[in-house]
Amino acid sequence: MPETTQAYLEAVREEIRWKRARPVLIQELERHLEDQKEAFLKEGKSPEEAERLAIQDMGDPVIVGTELDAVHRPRPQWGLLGLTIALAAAGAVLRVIFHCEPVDPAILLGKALLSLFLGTGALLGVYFFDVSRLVRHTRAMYIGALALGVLTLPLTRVAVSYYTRYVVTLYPVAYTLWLYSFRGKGWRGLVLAILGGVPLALVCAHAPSSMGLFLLLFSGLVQTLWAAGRNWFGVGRWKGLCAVLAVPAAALACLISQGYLNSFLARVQIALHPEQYKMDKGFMGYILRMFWMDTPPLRQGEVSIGINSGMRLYSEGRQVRPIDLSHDFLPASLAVQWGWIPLLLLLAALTVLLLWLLAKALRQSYLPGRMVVLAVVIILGLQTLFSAALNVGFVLFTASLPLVVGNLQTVMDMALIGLALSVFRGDSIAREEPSASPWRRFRIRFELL
Amino acid sequence: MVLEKSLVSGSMSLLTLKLLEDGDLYGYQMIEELRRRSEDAFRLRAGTLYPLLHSLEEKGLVQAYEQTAESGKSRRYYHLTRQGRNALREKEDAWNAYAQAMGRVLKGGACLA
Repeated sequence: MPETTQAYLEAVREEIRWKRARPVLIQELERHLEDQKEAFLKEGKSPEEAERLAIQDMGDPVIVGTELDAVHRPRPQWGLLGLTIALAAAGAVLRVIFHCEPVDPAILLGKALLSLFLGTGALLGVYFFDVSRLVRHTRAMYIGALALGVLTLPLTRVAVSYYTRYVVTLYPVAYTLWLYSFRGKGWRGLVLAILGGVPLALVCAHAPSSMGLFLLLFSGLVQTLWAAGRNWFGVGRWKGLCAVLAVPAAALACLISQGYLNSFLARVQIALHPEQYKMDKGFMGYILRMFWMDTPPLRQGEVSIGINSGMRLYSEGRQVRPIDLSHDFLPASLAVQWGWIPLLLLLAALTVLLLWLLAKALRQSYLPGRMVVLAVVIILGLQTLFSAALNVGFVLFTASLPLVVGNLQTVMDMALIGLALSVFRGDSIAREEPSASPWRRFRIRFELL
Repeated sequence: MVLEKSLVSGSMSLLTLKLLEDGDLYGYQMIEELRRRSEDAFRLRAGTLYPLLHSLEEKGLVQAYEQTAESGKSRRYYHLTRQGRNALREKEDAWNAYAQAMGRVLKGGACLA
């Protein structure tokens, strides 16, 4: 039996193979030895005797370490990793096939392969990352994400902040971490948690990225309502819920007073009835619906409507407009040229991936981990939903189909999925941060009396 | 009275869950509480308790969280989950049935009739 506490803990540590689990487990045993030693000291034992007896009381370090090692093993997520990489590989192939740019196919292929390579690196890199580090530095993560968004704003391409539009994809996760950091901080915490969304929303608005802004607002609202509903801030469940709901209500009132509601309703009208604006803002919606009417389950042969590779022209009367079925419209291009069954299969595979993530997130006991995964699922789920709507001719938001559309977007999507899988991988060792639940505190005090 | 090890080891999960029924505790408190309630009959080793607690956590029966104890030091408390409470009821029922059957046999009662 080891003579000192440190020697004992080292002997236990050697038996635990998963490095990430070691600090958590060793710390718990060390604290126990500390308590036990204090108890022996109170009984009048000398410090050396107290330490020796505490160690003896603990039991054989090899057995203890072996048993802890058996419980705490990483939970590999090979199935989800494989599905993600397979979908990203399919996306890379589709991006090369359904392009419209007058670019050498070899360059397109090179870009797609680079994106797949970097995306896989991001997926695995984040997967093996310890998510609890993010949770320990929530505000630093928030400030880092905000700073990255602000710094990339001047990097414009065609009047938009090209890179910021990708950075803002991460904002729902950054906001989730920010929100978590105010757990148990009362009204001040609740107000600061809500205010934390404002700078992120401003970056989205300046990019501009309406989809990024929508994702941030929707995810932020869902997570903040959920937190208030569980009385996270300690201000009372209903008071918290009312305070959170007051924010979107006030924002909505502000938008209505500024006349934004009318312009939004006009966009909805165009999205619903694009045929009424077919040579104007409803053009893409109208063209897409025309294509869908002519799209069989599986296409063999030429496209009858006259589109078979990317950009074509549409003419009506004296007006002529180009049709660009690439980028965000790649899914429609796939359906038009190969039939709607291949697209349906692609969407089904993505849905399986997202539902799989959601189901595992709901079973997750590590609260911040669960919130991060839910933010990821909301981001990718809404992108999938809006992309599907866009490609059937309901053009309200531009949205990229996750893992399929866009080289850089694919890298971001894979990094986000890696983050979710990292939470599941470390599930057996993940622990909640100190709880602020007044009820739980009361129970502990009561027990100690 | 010191009990034979095998008599205790089989029911350790039940005892551990039972200790958490009335409130959240950390490991050291649980050992002390068990000793007190059993009037020194159950002297659980920490090296046995922690792997057991961690396996119960794996099964979702208890949930661990960090909290500052009365001493001002941070300790890992364990909380009995709803699933754990249900498991405790089942284990208690099974144990009671077993104890009654053992009692009848040891008293030479019903089984000989």
